[in-house]
Amino acid sequence: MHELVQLAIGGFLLGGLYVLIAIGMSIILNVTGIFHIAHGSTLSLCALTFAALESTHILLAVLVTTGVSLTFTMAGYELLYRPIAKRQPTLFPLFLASFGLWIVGGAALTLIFSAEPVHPRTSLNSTVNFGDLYLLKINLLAFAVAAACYAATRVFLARTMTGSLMRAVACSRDMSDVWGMPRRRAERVAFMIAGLLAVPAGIFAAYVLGAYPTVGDTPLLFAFSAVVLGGLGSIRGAAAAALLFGVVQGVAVWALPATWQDGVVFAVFLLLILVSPRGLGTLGLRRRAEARSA
Amino acid sequence: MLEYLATVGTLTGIFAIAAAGLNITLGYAGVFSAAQAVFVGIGAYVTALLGPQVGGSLIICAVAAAGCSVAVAMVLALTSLRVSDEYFMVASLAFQIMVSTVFTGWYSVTKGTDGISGIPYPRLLGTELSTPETQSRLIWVVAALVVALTAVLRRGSVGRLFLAIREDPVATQTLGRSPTLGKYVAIVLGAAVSSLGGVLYAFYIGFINSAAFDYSLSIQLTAIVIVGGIGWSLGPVVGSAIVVAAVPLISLLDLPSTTVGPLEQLIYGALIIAAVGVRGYIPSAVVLRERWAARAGGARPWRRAHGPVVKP
Amino acid sequence: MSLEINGVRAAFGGLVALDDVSLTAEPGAVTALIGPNGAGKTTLFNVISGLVPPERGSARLDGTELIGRSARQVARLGVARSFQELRLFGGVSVQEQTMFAAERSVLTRSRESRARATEILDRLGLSAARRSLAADLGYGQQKAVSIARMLAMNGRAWLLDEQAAGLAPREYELFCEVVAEAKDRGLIILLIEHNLRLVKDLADVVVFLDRGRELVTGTAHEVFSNELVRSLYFGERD
Repeated sequence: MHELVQLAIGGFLLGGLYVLIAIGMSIILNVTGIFHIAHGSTLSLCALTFAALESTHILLAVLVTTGVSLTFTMAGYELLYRPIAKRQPTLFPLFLASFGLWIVGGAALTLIFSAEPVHPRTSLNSTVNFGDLYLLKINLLAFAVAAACYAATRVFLARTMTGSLMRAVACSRDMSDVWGMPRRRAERVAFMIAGLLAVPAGIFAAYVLGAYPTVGDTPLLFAFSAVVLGGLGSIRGAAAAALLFGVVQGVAVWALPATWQDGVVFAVFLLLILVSPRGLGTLGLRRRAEARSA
Repeated sequence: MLEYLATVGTLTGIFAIAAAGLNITLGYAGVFSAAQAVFVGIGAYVTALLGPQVGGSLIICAVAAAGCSVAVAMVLALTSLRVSDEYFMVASLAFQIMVSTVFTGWYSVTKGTDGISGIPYPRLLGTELSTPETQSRLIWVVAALVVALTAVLRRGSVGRLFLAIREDPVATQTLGRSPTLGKYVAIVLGAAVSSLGGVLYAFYIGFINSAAFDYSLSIQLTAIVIVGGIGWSLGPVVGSAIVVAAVPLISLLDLPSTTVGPLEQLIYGALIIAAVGVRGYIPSAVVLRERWAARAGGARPWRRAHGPVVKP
Repeated sequence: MSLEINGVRAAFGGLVALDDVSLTAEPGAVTALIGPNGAGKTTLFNVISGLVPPERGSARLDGTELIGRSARQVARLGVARSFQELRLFGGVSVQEQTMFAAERSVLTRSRESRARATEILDRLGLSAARRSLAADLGYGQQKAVSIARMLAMNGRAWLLDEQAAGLAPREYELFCEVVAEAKDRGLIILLIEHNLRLVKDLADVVVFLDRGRELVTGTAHEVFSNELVRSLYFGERD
């Protein structure tokens, strides 16, 4: 039993990482309608960039990682999605393009960096004890940062002008043009936020999972599922689902061999989506908008 | 060298058959299924397990494989009736990873990554096809049949329903038709066709393991369909020729072995983006043909090629 | 046989898009919905065609309740609609999408639907373009394809959402002819229009909507000379 709790908490903390990716994807999806699968490559890119530079100076590494992440994300938006969206009004080509970018991104990273995982050293890679629970300090820090980023994102969306613009665009992508709202700006900011959120995610992925070219793939798939399971349009739901996946993934090891880990998570996802196809979240902003446009 | 080319040519045929199934699901009906490798895998495993029992009878294996795939596809399609559009892709990807886990983890049946060998030669109409040449011929005959069948399907009323769903599910509804039912049928049909590819793969190679049917195969099949021209019945053959036959030729260049795999992936990805960017998901060949027809008739100027479907 | 809309109310969140709208569209007559942007005209079409569930109200076609049915069922009861943004199948040839609209199920014989599509496309002057993809056509022709699909559906009621906007003079005339023919065949025709000349030419009944409410109903002359309509709708132009 004790081991189970230990595993569950470990998974929960790792879930923080999935949350960072999931809310980034959720915001992009809501504002632009694009399922930005290539976000997995952004995570790998951040992890690898940080791991490569971490030994020089940590602040420098963080800054460069941020720059690289934003450049990749914004280039994806400006140079890939927008030109395609201009010519083709439906979302399906954008989805295919994102899929292509994901494959290109992963392959390019494999060519540039070595496939061997790099683990940056840190003094935080030690445990603290709560009663008889052992927790890695770095995992705790990662979770705290993820929680802070989540809170900051929510405050941004709720309190700032740009945030409410983005919510309005998410609410009705067709109407925003009619009302003369600067939809471009909302879209750009959505990608920017996702790019920024990928930075802490990538850094902690490097520490916790090790930096290798496909490190982003599993978090991507989990985040991907979390966005759907959380209820489309619900950032809170996406975050909750991401944490749930972390816990399930952690606990799965308790009963089954590690090869079954991902399979169990996705089995849980499929079951839940069958039970609750509209997702677990009930924010429902987008749902109403969908009913209108559908 | 000649043998190598023959093998590649035959594999191209096998992948074309597997991709033709995905072309029905993704290309015609626009349902992005990332679980197509599951059905190829089911076809292969059914053959590997059942083949020795039935003396390698191709017909029995094919029917059993299609039956199993249809059953599994119906489970998958159940989710497609509940979640919509692109979100189905997530569900199917989850499904793919789950089934891959089963292929790897259920060792007593599938032998996991160690794999199953000793698959007999296929037997058709009492004749054992024991040489690679005869099998190769068989595969290309099946590929031609599959392409012909999908072309007929595409031109008929079912094809029109699929395309309507792909283009606009809401308009499909307001024209009095059901997108849900169409998607269901597209997924199940696609699965049955792809499983044939798996059957032929298992017979031809004679050995299968779980690594062959993980999600990278799904990605490869998707790349084949998109690169070949989504929704074009010959597309899977063209795409397969590019992805399975042409791209691996880079291994002839003097590259370190570790870079070949990623480089291939990079080319697939770039080809997908190029295919989408150049002319959306409307197969370029069809567009070209239409343009030629229009120019021959002098009816239409071709500058409107990228005109908006909706009012800007 | 008529289309009776009674006390329809629809809201999105706090925004009331339709507030107790009632109107009756008679067969063999053209009923035009006019009003400023955001008046709820398209929402009313969405309610009737089953795309948006209203909070309350009813819409009866020939006594059959349409509210609560899916868009597919409403279409099968004979309500054909067009969209302002057309919603053509961009990657499908003109002929194929007209054939599709003519088919009730996959069991319909292709020969029949092809014959019907050919006839319709001839009437609309689209024969030359029948093999083109809808996305490759000019705007006027795309609108004609939208009409072709409605004709192919062989419905009892038409809901036309700004079908005449942006048409060239010849296309405009053809559109008027097609609507007049449909009227003669006894169809119920409901149309949303901003083009007041067309409303004057075609409409037998004009309904003026403003902010979700139906304010004035009457002949074109009555509605256009109404004080309220003049101030709300033409105010900025006079």
